[in-house]
Amino acid sequence: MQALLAFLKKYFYWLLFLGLEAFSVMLLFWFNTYQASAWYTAANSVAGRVNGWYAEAVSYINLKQANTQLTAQNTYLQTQVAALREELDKVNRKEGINERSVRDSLKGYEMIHARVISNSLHKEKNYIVINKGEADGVKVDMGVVGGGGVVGIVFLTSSHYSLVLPVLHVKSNISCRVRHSQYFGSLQWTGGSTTTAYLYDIPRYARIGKGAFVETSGYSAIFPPGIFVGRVTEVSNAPDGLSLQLKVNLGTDFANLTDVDVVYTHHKAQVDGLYRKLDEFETKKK
Amino acid sequence: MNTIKHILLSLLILAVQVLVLNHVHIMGYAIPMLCIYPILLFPLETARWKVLLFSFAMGFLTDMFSNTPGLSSATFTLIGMIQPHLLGFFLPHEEESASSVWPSFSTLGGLTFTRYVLLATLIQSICFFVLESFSFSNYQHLAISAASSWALTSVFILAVESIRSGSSKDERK
Repeated sequence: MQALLAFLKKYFYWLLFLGLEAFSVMLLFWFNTYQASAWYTAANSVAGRVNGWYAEAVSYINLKQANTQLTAQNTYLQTQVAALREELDKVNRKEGINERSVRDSLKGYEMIHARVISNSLHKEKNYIVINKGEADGVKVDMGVVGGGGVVGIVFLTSSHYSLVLPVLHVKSNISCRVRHSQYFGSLQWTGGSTTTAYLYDIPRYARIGKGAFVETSGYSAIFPPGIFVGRVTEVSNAPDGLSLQLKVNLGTDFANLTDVDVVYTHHKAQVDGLYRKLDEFETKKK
Repeated sequence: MNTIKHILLSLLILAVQVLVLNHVHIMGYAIPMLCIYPILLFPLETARWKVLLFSFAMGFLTDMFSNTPGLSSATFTLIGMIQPHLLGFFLPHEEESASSVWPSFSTLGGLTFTRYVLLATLIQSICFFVLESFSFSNYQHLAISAASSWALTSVFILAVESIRSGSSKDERK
């Protein structure tokens, strides 16, 4: 305390000097308009500059937050754009002849619309997963049809998803016929090109030209009869020499498959029932 | 010189400043500011606060009569602050009694006192005109005003000092 007093006593004149100068400068600014305005202008410009720096610093610090917000917004907008583009595609899509004929032949059949979730093309055993399952009424052995024609057959189901065995699977075997003739055979795929498959078991005496339509026969009740499958591009002898094999250009573009329909008919149960009876009958006979 | 004489001299100089010198404005630049003279006369031993208060009072009174509030007060307070340092710089250090000396031609010697006055008035002129113009945008005008006022003030102070030292010599005779 004494040291403080001594300090004050020793340097009192400094305080006095500063006080008197402050008072003088105050008088200067109070009573002299020129100095006052010059002072306030200078003070304002200094304050403005300092405020500007401060604002810049704050905005720089906030950039991170702004960035996060922009990213979130961007993602949101992109998903919206994707959804809208899809809607637009749906509206603009031209319905081809194939599609119309497929639609015509599906009359009387029930349909469950589904979306393709995953799809493979380049294996020997390709599978397609669709987003409808047992809960939606999908059952094993129902047919799956796309805009271009036959896609495949439901192979496994879970409650909300189903696995489809497409035409592009070496074990796939769909009963097909050539339109306007009664020759039928089985459509199989041997791997390789995703746009072609072969129709086997056509009798050698059948007269079938290039460009003939291949459609489902309806014999298995998996597919209704008359659903477009593809067109014949080549007629040749089968390796066994007893039948013809038709090279079929598939109507379905498997590389670009998004929307499909699962088709089913209540007749299938009856047909299956008959087969079951047949099996029982034959086992009894033995 | 004693304190009463000093105060009387100060009042006289203040009157001359206010009544005569404030109306001198040579070429629009030079203003003689004689009021600084009594401040420079304090001996080194004077308490700092006394010098400061006296300086401020002189400045304040000058301001009141010349309608420049704060301008001379600030300038003279600054001079009052640095006056002991200036004087200490010019005083011969070897003399013990130096700190009680009232500065004048006779005590400091003509040349030393002139230097002392020149340095003090230089600082005062610069300070005064910087505060008055309050910007360096018209620095030529500022420099001319400060320089001419510095010269004029110095001449006036030295003249008054020579008159005073002459009269004190006469008194001694």
